[in-house]
Amino acid sequence: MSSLIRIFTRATLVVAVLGLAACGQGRLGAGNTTNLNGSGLNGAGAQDPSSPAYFNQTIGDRVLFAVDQSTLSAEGRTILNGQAQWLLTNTEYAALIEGHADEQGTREYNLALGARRAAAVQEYLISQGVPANRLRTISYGKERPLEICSDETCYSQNRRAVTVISVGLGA
Amino acid sequence: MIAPFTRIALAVAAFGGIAAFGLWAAPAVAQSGPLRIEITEGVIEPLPFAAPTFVAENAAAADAAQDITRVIAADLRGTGLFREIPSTAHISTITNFSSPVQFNDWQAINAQALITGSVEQSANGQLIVRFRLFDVFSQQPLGEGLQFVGSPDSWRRMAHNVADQVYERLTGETGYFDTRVAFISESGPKNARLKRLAIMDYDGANVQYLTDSRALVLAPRFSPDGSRLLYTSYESGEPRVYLMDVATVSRRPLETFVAGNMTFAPRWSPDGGRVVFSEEQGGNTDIFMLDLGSGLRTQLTQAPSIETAPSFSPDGTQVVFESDRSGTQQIYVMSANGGDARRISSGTGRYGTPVWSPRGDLIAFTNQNEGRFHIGVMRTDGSEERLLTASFLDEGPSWAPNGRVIMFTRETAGADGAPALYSVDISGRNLQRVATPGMASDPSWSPLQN
Amino acid sequence: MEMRRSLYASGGMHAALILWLAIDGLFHRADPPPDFSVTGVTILSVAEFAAMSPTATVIPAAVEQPAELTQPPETASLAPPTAEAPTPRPSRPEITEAPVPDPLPVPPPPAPQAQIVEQTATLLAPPAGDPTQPPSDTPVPEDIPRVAPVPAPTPDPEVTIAPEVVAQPAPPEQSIAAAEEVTPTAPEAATTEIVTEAERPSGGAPLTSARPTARPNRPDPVQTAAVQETPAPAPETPQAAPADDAVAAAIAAAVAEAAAPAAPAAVVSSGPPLTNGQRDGFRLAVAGCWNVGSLSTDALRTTIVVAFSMNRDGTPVANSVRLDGVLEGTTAGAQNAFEAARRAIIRCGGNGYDLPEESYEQWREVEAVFNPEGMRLR
Repeated sequence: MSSLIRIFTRATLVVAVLGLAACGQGRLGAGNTTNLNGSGLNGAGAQDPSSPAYFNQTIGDRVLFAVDQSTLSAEGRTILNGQAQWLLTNTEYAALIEGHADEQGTREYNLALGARRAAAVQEYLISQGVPANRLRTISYGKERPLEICSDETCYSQNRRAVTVISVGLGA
Repeated sequence: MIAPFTRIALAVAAFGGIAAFGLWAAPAVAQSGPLRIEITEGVIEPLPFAAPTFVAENAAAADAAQDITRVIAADLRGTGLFREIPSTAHISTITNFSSPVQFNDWQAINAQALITGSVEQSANGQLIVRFRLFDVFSQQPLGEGLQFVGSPDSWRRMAHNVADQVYERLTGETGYFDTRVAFISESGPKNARLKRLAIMDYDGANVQYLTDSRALVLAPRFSPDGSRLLYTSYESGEPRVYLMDVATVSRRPLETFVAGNMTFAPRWSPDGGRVVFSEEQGGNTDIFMLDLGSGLRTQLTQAPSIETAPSFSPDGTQVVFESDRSGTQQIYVMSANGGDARRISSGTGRYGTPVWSPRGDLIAFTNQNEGRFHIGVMRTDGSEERLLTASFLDEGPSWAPNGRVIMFTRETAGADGAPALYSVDISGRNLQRVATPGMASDPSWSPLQN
Repeated sequence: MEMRRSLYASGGMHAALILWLAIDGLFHRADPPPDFSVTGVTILSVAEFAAMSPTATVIPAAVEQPAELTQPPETASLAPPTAEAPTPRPSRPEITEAPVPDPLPVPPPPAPQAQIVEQTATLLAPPAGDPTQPPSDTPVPEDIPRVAPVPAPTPDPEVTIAPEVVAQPAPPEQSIAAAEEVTPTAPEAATTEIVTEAERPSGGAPLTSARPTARPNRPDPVQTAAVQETPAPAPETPQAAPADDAVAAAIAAAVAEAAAPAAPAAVVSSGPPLTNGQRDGFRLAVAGCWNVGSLSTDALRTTIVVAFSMNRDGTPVANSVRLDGVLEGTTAGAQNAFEAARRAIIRCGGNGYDLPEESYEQWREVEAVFNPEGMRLR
């Protein structure tokens, strides 16, 4: 009887450790949002490494940019590495990359800037091995801000490229 | 103790002072012929005018007479160049359009221009509007009296036409009151804006919505004949340029789709036969031209930088546009066939949204500097740059057809920030808000209606 | 002792100078005081004003299409009142306060744009030589309703002669300056630069150099009354020139009178020559009414010469104002520029310009060059 208990305990421990190990993956980047969408209830979703929730919250679905820039930061590249890995693992998903800009610019230029940012993310993902035909881009310029205050704390959140995954054309 | 020498010096100085006065007050050289004077400095102030209510020739026209007079006066006042002497100050009234004018009464209240008129409803239901314009101090008419005939529905247009005539005769500029403005009507919170394409009279009347708010729409542009609009819409899922016929409100994409390529920032050539716009491919944005008749497409710029916001010169030979090839957004001019572009913006900050004036003499633009936005104008070679406005966010100028007034978008800051339309004279004077039903952006001024 | 003597000498010379200036001014006042109404700064009631104004000889126009306009024979702007009984003015309608109108409400989407048919039937005929009008010299009060239409040229039978329309009061406008009738003519604190919104100091350095400002709504120069401001008889000095110039002009005028006999008198049969001060005063007076604010950019690039004659009392002869040449610019611009110049000459000359009557021959004919180069939009 005690050996059964011991085996059960050990099995539980092993499972727990494995679970924790899974949690340890995907370090949240500095600029990532903490929008956890009630993951407390649906913890299984965020924990499930093949779920979109995991992609969005654990890996991070967005990277941020400096003013008027479309170059990726180091944190950005780290997040995109995670995104690339996830997309390569979960091949049934396609991704639409949205490029955005903050309101400190004229409408047309910001549309072009958003497109540049989305393209920068797309190129990087392709360079990490994601097939190009699973990636699309769109620019929203400054039309869809995330944060609506008018200072840098909000602007920095709005200068972003968001990777939106959906079940779609696979490889 | 004053030395003798000093005393003499003082006396000489005193006498010299008197002499100097005397010389200054001395008569000019005796002249023959007319007295010649040169006036080089005057005043700049609104010209006072009086517009007594137009005479209603029959009872059916009474309301129209009041309304028409009101719109004419509002048009003139709205330019900032004229000041109305209100009817409460009028000494005499115009009760008969054909009677001689008592100029002394109008001079007494310093009305320098007088507009008289009459409105009549004819037997077949048409509205007849007549007017005369007088220079009160010279006691002469300015130009001939005119008569307009139209349906009662068009009373606003007739009032605008009268005001255009008055404006032209008094200033020498072409008028701009019988015009419309296309714009984006906005609603909703800042992070979930709903946008609709709309059109209205330039003074805010007769608003008409041309799209619903299901798809994001941006930056409409009137064709040179005022019959069509180009605009950018997300209705296909991506930003694309659409062409709409205003009268029928029917629309079509400008071109067949090329998946993954975004097109935006369209503008018309002066003859309405070509469209210049931006297209993005693989993250890079360049300027293209489409010939509407032949469907022929030409690429005008080829650079890894962002090239956008192109605008034709009124003679159709050149295109001004915005590019960040130098590292920041600046304004460039190139031939309408593409090729070498020369930079014309040289001030501090970033420059964008260049628009060539219909008179061909100026280019309006948006300037961004140290956190502030400005609408400005510069000569077509970039000289004589003048900033006309300053605020948290001004952008997207559009010219009135006479090249003298600019309309633009002004947005306020913060979570409650909201865009509205404003207009300003190219002298920088008379900045005022344009009436719209709610929030509005991206104005485009039509030409004078036929 | 020597100090005291020098003090006396200096004081004496100064006193003599002052005395000379004062007395001389008294004995040699050359010009008569300018003509201006002595009603002072008061609001005239309608009745008083009616009594002052001339009555025009009105020839009622017959109702026919197209209607013709006849001008009254009176042309000068401020003629003395005639001997006839003043016509009763229509009483002012009851004025009720009306709120400033809100921005226009959104009407329901209209039907497709209504077309208008434009006809340019000219209605205005030259005032003289109208054969269909029986000349009448009896003054007719202007508010008599129209006579029934003459049957010969048949007017539109449906058109009824509406009862006299009493003009409804328009909503009072926002920031129109107050009393339009009579205002004191203090030289206004006019700034000298147009400051656009972009240049208004709001914490940042001005981005471009400032330019001449538009003046704020200013009370209008009064035609019937002028307030004497400077002790010297000066015309209504225009507000356009910086205040210094106006004061300097007044001083010059005063000193001119004082110094006139001391200066060598030029032997001219047309009276003492005009002093620089008087010419300046005349020039500034016209400039004060020269409003270029509503001129086209074309007209602002046009320099014109305007010739006109003057009456002995200093008022311009309105009919004589003519465009005498275009030194620079376009024809279209010249027409507008001319109209503005003509308004300036006639408006500020309503009370007569301040020019000495004995020099009348020298200023009977005037050629004025209007050069807007300094006022141009940059």
